[in-house]
Amino acid sequence: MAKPAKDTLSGIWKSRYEYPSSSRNGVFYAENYVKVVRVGNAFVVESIPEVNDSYLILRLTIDDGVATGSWQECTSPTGHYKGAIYHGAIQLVVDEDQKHMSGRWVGFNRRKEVKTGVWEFTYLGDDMSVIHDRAHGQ
Amino acid sequence: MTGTGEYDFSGVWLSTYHKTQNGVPETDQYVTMQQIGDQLIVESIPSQTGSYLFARFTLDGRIATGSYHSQNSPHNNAKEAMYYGAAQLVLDPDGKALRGKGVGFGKDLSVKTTVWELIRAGQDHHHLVEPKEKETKK
Repeated sequence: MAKPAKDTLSGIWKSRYEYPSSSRNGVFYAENYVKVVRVGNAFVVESIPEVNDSYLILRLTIDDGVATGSWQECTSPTGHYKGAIYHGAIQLVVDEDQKHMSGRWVGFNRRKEVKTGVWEFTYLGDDMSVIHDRAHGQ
Repeated sequence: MTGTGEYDFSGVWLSTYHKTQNGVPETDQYVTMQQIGDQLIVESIPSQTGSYLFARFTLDGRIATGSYHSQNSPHNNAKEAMYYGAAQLVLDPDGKALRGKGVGFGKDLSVKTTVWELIRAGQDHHHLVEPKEKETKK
């Protein structure tokens, strides 16, 4: 399935994943602004410190529109999970226009049960100005 | 979490997928595992069904995170289709089973979750019954 890699995907994206919380009995959503850097058939997704309390990093390998890899999140020290570090695995399908990626993650929780959820990424633009514009309602 | 040396992954394990938590097993294959440092390599034992499974995990305590490749049996519905995805499994405290979830794309290119278990079956596979071939729907 491998095709020559094009250096696309790099830029600023919005990340949104769902996660179940057994202690709060429901499904919640986390949104983060992230930076994607692609090199060949690999790319790294990292949260942008200025606009995130938690730290998120994903490493993925892309093969003809299917990206497979792992994620790690150091949760916000002031949030519900009090800085706990979680990690897991993920697969995403990249849209043909390379502006949207969606798939599912798997990861253990505090009880060492492996949970799953939807994870989506939406491309915003090439640089940080897209976030500043959003913050100022432009 | 560290310390993966206390568990023994030698011998034969039975790998089973389910589409849902209480679903009917989709496939079962006998596999062997090899641990090198914090890396765990899983490979199916060749069988009459002709299916093939290969997975690599990184161990962090009892948490195994990684990716898999699987090729279906030439005799079943999907006829030798090659699929791959990401997975996270948790080793039981007694070290006799790895249980968790995998995420992987299907024919429609949407990413789905499977429940995946690897249960220690014995020291060798000669006394074990050949896994049942799933019936092909016409």
